[in-house]
Amino acid sequence: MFSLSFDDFVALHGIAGALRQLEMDFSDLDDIARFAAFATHRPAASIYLCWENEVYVIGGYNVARGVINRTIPDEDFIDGVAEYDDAICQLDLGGRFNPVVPDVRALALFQMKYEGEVIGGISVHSPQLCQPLSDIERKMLSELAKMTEDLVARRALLKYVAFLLQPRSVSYKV
Amino acid sequence: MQRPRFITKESTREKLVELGVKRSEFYDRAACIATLSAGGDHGAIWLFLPDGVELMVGGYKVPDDVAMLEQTRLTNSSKMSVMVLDPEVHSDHPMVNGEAGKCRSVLAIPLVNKNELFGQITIGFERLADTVSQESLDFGAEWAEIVMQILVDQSNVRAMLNDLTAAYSV
Repeated sequence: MFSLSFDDFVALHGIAGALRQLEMDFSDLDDIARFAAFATHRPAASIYLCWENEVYVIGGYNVARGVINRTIPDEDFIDGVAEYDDAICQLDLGGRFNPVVPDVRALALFQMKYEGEVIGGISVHSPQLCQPLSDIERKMLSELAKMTEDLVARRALLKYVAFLLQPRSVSYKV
Repeated sequence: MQRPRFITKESTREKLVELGVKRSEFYDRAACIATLSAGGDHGAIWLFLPDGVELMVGGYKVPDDVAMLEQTRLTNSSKMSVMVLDPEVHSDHPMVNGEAGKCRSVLAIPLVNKNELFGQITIGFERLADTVSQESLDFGAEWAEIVMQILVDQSNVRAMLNDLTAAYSV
């Protein structure tokens, strides 16, 4: 019953719009971001959702939640992964990542999808130049992104159910 | 409503399946991440059922029908354990004898909820245990906490959705 209604909700708003309305934000996503940072030896990581030209950070390690401009071009992703040695120079970012990620040199992003459509991703970053991620680190982060996209979809369903069940205010005006 | 513990005396394989706890791509990925983060070659996520049966819910380079090697089963909720496997002693086990792997050592990481041992993540190494670094142990422990929390949360969510669906179906 609920999953069908959620599908209708997604069909109505698009997955990005649906996730945006559900205000996805779960503390355990911070734990996953922290693990992503540790496992790749990077000092910061985030889990984010995309909406048009904006990116919403919904979980982070040494990254605050917030909204930033979408600056990574889609064509830079190969098999769902984009990596930069020096993102500020390569993407000509200047200060546009402020204030959530003020200084980013080494940057790697792993896309999350919902039924084939990109909804966001996991990023790991560092203010210093770093060695590129190893093949094992890339494989691990790709798997983590796929797992997290599944978690985000399940959490979205849960929030949608809560949204349906919340009592509505009733007007008695005639 | 307060949910009972993740696995109770009444838990069975079938009841866990109703809660979405079964071998699936999702938990296979979790096993893959555990294995890679610890630098291992094989990995499995096991849950302990009350009848003494172990249930594998996720595996990386571990076939479905593999039984847990008794020597590797943890009994203490607070300790990770690194064990050396003797290939002659375990010559009938597919993860040791080369059928599915040639594990020579194992890292077992407890899955704990509310101070109770509910299962373990077992990482198999096709090399000796003395090459397992402290960092690998730390990553494994970190990931095990996340996996345990996901298992509990997901089963609670599924239980709630099952209850709601039943209530609204009357």
